[in-house]
Amino acid sequence: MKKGVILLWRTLVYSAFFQLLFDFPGAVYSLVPGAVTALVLSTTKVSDLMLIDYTAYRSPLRRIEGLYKLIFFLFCLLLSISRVSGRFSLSLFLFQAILMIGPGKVPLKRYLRFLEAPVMFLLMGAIGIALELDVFPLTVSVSQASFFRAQEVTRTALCAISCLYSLSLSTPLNQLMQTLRKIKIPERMIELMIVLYRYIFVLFTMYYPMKRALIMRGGNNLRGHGMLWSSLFKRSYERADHSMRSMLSRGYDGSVQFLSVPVATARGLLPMLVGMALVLAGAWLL
Amino acid sequence: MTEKRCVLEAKDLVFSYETTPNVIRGISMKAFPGERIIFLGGNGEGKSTLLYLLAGLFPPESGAIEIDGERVDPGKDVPPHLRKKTGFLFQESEDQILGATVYEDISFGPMNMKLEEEDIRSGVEKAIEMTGLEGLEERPTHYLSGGEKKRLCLASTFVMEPKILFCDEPFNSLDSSMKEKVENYLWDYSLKGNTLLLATHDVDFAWRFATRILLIHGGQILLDQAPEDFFQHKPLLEQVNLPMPLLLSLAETMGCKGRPKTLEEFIEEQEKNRHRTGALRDHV
Repeated sequence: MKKGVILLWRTLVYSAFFQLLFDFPGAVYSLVPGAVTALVLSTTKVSDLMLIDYTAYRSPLRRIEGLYKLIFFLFCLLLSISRVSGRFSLSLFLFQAILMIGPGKVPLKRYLRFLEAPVMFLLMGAIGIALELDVFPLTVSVSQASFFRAQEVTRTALCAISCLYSLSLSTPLNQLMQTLRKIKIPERMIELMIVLYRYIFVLFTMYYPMKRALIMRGGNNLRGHGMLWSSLFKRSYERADHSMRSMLSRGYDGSVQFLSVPVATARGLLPMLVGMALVLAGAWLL
Repeated sequence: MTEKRCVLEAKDLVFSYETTPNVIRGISMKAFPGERIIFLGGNGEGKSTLLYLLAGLFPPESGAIEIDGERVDPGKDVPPHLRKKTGFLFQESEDQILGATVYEDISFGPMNMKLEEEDIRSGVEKAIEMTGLEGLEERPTHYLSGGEKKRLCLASTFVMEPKILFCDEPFNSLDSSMKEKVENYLWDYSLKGNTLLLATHDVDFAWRFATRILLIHGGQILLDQAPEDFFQHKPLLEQVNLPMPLLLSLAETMGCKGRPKTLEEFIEEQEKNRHRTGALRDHV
C-alpha cells in the first residue's frame, strides 16, 4: 500500500516535471516518462546521498586531472546560466547525464536518485514562479508568460545542477581540495572544507548506530529523535575535543596540510578541449 | 656505573576534571628507553587521563613533565621539537583520522613537522609498508574497516618515528587476528629501542608484553613492578578486581613450576610437569 502511494506520488511529480521541461502538447504524454522514472526509482534501494562520495571515488573519470575537470564543468555551468536557449539547456543536461552514465560509469538508477532531491526543489520553485496571485479579488492563475518563465528557470537550474553533479560525481573531494589549492583559494576555506567533510562521516558513524538502538528500544518517535539529536550534539562536541587532542599530538600548529599520492601525468587535456568544443558548437547551433 | 637516561619523567602530577576532582593524585614516574610500560586498572581509575598528561595533551593542575630531559612548561603546548618525540595512538580510531585518504592522513604529521617533500613521501611509504596498508593509499578513510582504521592510526603515529609511543586501549574493538597484528607492530617498534606506554584492561597482554606494569587505582600508582613480581600480589589484585593472566592461572592450577608467558612456553611447562609427576609416581 505504502509503496503504491509512493509510486503514484513519484509518477505525478515526475510527470509534472517532464511537462514543465519539455512542454508536451498534452499533459498525458508526460505521464509516460514520469511513470517510467518513478518505476526505475522504485526498484532501487539506494537512498544514501553519501553515495555521491563513493561514486566519485569509484569513477574512472577520477583519473583525469582535477583542474581540467573543474575548468570544463565550470565552463558548462557558465554557459548554462547564460541562458543560450531552452533547447541548449536541455541538450547540455542530457550531455552531462550521458557523460556520467557512460564514461563515468554511474548506474542510471543511482543518477536518477541523485537528481530526485533537486527535482523536488525545482518543481516547488517552478510552481511558485508559475502561479500568479491577485488579492482583490482573490484569484490564483497561471498565465502563459509565467509558465514560460517557470519553464526557463527550471531548465536553466536543472542544467546548472547537472554540471555541478558531474563535477561531484567524477572528482573525489581530496582531488577537488588539491585543485582548489592550485587555484589559490584561501587556505582557511580549504581547511574548513576538509574538517567539515571529515566530520560529516564521523557524525554519520555515530548517528546510524544510535538510530538503530533507538528503533530497537521502541523510541522511534518525536521524543526519541529529539533525545537522539541532543545526544548526537553532545557526543559530536566530545569527538571534536578528542580530534583536537589527536591533531595536537601529531604536531598541529594551526594549518591542516596533506600530501596526496603522486599522480604520474596530468591526463585529460584533450578530452576536455574536445568536450568544450562540442558544448560551444551546441550553444551556437541550438 | 652511569645511570640510564630517562626519556620521560613525571613529578607529582595532579589533575581534576571540572566534573570529577582528583582524577590523578600526585603521580610520579620515570620511563627509560626500550621499556614497555603498561598501566592496568579498572574503568575510570585514571589510566587514559594519565596517558594524556604524560603526552602533554592535558595541562596538569600541579606537577611537571620532562620529555627527553626537557621540561614542558605547565599550561603551554608541547613545543614542536618535543612533539616529534612523542606519538599517541587513541582509543577510538575515528578520533585520530583526519585526512580524506589513507596517504593524506599519514602525511599530516610529517607535514606539520615541515619536513622536505621527499622525506615525507619516503616516511609515508615506509609507514604504509610497516602496517601492511599497501594498495589502500588512495582509499577514502571512511571506507576502511575497523582493523584498517587502527592500522592507519598506527601508520600515522609510526611515520613520526616517535621515541615515546602512548597507546590508549590499542586493541579496542579489534578481532583476534588484527589484535595479533597490532601486537606484532608494537613489538617491532619496541625492539628498535623506543619506549611504549600503554593503558589497557588486558592482563594477558600485559603479562606477555610488558617490562613493567603499573597498577593505577583511584588516581594513584599502587604497584610499579616487573610482570613476574606484579602478579605475585594476588590479594591486592583481587581487591581491585584485576584477574590473573589465564596462562599463569592455568600453570599454577596444574602445578607447573614455571611461569609461562606464551602458549608454547605453557605446553613446554606442562610437558616438564608430566615428566616430573611421572618420575615421582615411578619413584613411589
